Amino acid sequence: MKNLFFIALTFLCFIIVSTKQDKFEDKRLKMVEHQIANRGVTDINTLKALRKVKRHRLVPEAQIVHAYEDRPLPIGHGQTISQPYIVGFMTQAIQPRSGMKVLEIGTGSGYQAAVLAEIIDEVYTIEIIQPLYTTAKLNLDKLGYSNIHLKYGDGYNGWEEHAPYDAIVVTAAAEFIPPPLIEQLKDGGKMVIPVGAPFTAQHLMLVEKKKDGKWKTKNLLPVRFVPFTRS
Amino acid sequence: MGISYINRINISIGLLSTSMIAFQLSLMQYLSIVQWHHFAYMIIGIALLGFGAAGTFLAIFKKRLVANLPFSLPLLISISGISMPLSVWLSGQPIFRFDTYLLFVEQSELWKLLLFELLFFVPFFSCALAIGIVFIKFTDKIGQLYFSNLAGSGLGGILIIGLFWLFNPALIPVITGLLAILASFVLLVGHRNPWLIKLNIITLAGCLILAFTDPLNLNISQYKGLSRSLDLPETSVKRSENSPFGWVQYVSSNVIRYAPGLSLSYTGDVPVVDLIFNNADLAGAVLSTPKDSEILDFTTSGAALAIKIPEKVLVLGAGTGVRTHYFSQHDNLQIDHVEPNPIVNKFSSDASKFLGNVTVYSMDARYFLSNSQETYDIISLPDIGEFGGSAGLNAIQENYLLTIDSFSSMYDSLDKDGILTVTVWIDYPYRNPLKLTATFIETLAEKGIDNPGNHLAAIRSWNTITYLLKREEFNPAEIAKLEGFSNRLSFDPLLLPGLADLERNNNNFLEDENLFRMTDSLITGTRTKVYTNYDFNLKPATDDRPYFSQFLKWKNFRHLQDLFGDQSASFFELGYLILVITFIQSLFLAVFLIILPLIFLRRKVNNKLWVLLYFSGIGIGFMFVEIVMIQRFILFLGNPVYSVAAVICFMLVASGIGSWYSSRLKTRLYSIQRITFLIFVIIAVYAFGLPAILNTGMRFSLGIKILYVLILIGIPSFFMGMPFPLGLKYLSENNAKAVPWAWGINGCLSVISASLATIFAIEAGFSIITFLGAAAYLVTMASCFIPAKT
Repeated sequence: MKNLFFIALTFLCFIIVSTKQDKFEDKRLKMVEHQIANRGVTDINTLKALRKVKRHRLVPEAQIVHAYEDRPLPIGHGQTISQPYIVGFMTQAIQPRSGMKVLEIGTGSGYQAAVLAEIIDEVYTIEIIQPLYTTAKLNLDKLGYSNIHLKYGDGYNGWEEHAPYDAIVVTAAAEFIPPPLIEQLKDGGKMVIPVGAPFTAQHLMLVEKKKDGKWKTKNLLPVRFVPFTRS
Repeated sequence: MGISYINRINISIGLLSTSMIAFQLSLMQYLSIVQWHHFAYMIIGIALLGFGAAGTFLAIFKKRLVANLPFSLPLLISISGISMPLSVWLSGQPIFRFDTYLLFVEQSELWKLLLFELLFFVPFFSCALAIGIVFIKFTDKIGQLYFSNLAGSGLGGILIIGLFWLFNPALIPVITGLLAILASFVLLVGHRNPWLIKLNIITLAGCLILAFTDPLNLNISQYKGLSRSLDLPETSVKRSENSPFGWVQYVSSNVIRYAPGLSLSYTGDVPVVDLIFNNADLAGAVLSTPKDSEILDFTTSGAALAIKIPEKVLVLGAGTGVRTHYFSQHDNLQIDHVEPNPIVNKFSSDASKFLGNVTVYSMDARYFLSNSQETYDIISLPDIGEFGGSAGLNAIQENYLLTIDSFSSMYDSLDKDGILTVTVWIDYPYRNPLKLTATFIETLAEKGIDNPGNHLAAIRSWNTITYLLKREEFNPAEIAKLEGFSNRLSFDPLLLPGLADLERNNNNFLEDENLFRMTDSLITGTRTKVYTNYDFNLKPATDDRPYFSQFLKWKNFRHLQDLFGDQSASFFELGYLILVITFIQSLFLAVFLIILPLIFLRRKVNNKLWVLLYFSGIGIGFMFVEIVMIQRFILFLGNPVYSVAAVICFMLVASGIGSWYSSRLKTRLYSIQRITFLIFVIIAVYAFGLPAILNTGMRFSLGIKILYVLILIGIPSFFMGMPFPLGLKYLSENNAKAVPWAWGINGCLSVISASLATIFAIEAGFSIITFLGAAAYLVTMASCFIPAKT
């Protein structure tokens, strides 16, 4: 009788957990479909990764119910986890593929790193705010991402030991691009920087380092402003 | 023989009013530090509705409160005093803590906001209730009592200046609370009820313990610059000082670097800097050595020195002195550094001494310009905007440095071939760069220049644009040097005489080329069309509407929401949205508070329309005029902090004298009509004539300027102090039951007017608000023609 009770209890827990997982999976798939693919993110690898990463496991507890909504979320310390669409747009911008090595400056919640880690071989990420670093490390470890390497420190100097990188994603506000980061980017590599006040992401800056070592910046617009009167 | 009870009441009301105004202004600073100044407006607006609510409360419970006046009055004053520090302390506790930035993100923040507002409502409500009881009980002495109220408030405006200099922002509410308790003690002298005396003594002791142990913490929003910087490793506050200019903190760091818009061609090291914050917002970077400023040679800000070797440079809004250091590196150069905040000047120069060729002026930039006879080779302005955009938090902040009038004055201070230089952070959708271009064009048009394109140059990096406005046309050699500068550092020219479209978008590619198209439209003469058609307000700011950072056009807000989503659109113009929410909130509450007493007093109040119009007119008129006077005299006196204090003090004391004088007048509607008409005439003249009158005295000495202030503020204020006591007295003689209702209407309308005045200032300008203020007095006058019912 006692054993039967435990079996029933385990079964019940399994049902509850799996229902919960299903609920989030459903939300996640809808998020990718409606918020990301429908808005023009077409890169298959990116969409696949976004469908897979459990965003709700990387946000603060109070934000779990909002994890798949079409907006940025607060993660504490004046930082936000970007709107899913922006993460998709940024990921697509660096054209990720297997075999690449990417450096991320500003781990934040760890979501961007997780999305990249689903596609590419090695992700190196640096976070300067200690509590965010600790939480992100814990969450990413729990999710089993062994190809994400976290470092607590100042992103200004990059991570020279593992340089050069195929791409660099700078998610922390950057009034200027640190010269060491440009140096650690491979020729032909790409760097992407979102530019906007918290809770907005108005445009992205893409830096392309040409084969000859010269570079070019490109302003990319996730949401293009079309003046009303023009229509 | 001791002081009579009525005189003690006069002293007590004066002290209470002093403490309340001082508390209100300290609360503005406290909330500006922990949140943003827009939020401060919102909370103060709701808290001040305590005055309106007190009228409503009195209308319903008048009998009981007035009958027990010797007990209820000191009790209410004590509650007001206790709740001043208590409300501030509670506001920092987790259950009440609120964040403006999350208002449009988290629904739970709305409830927290309500709790937050309720906290600060208590001290204002109890204070207003105390004053209201006295006004109602002693209506025959209303002239003197209203004088005590106004004069006390005026002195509060002066007292707070001293408190700001002497104490930490968290300590000031304790001091104002103590002052209110003192007001209660004045009434309790000879009182037989030991319970109240004990309560006061305990509170006094509690406040003193609070003061010495300093447990009031400033829980600053996590989204403010100071909080975000202190989250970084090896970063801490080294110095801190309070003043009426703000709470300045010096933050030392080993990881913060400064190089706004640095060229990607630069391969050297970027200097580590310390930071200075004012009210927890970034005031600027502090360089370790003046030589570190050479990094600016690799930013677009280096454009001016790339084409000109100046002899005399004026650095306006100089902040922490980075631009001053930059120019001072060059030999044979004299620099005037103008920064109004003396603490910022002190902290920055202590950390990194200016060279001998720098003269520091602690004064407002516009004041300096109007009093200086010098001309300069280069005039440098502070950077406009913030990296990534400012979320519209500066939208309702008056900025007299970025108006057409200001640029015109700077243009006149340039040498024949002098250059004005200013750097703008690129925002998206484009706003700041376009409004600045529009301001340049309007300024040049005012100066009679019909080919503005030959006087303007602009160099763009991936995130900044530096504009140069030259008094003479740019010559071919200068154009070639700017092209060379731009190419060398991989920037792109945005504006240069003779520039081809193809040359603009090479190194730093912009996907949305509207920046080029709109800039060209502004320059080639179709700018009025651009103002009308663009989704954002690009019309340049003027001294009458000094809101450079206000871009919102309400009719297009829906379009922005459709494009960017509801939440993101809110962050384009957070400041203005919060102001409008404040207005709507206070409007609903005010209407409720005005209507509520009528349910209880329906049959006891006659001539409701007269009471409503009369006291609404006074409430709106007084507040509109006060707000505009403060703004007009900021430019005249050249110091925003002292101008506000002087105007509040002069205006309230002069109104108090008018109130006192009114007690000699007979309470007849005819005399009230004459007084209000006189006020209408004076204010209507001020609406369009005051700026011209003030201009005549701009270059006079401070002594003569103060005389101007005394006369120009004193005359209307003296008369404006009369209609309220006269109306209240008239009402008490003819319809005593309506007195608390009238007091409540006046309070409610005063509060609504504060936010309404700012909305009008943004949309229509100060002259129009002044005229509306005059019109409000005309409504008061006209209400006296309504036939009285008995």
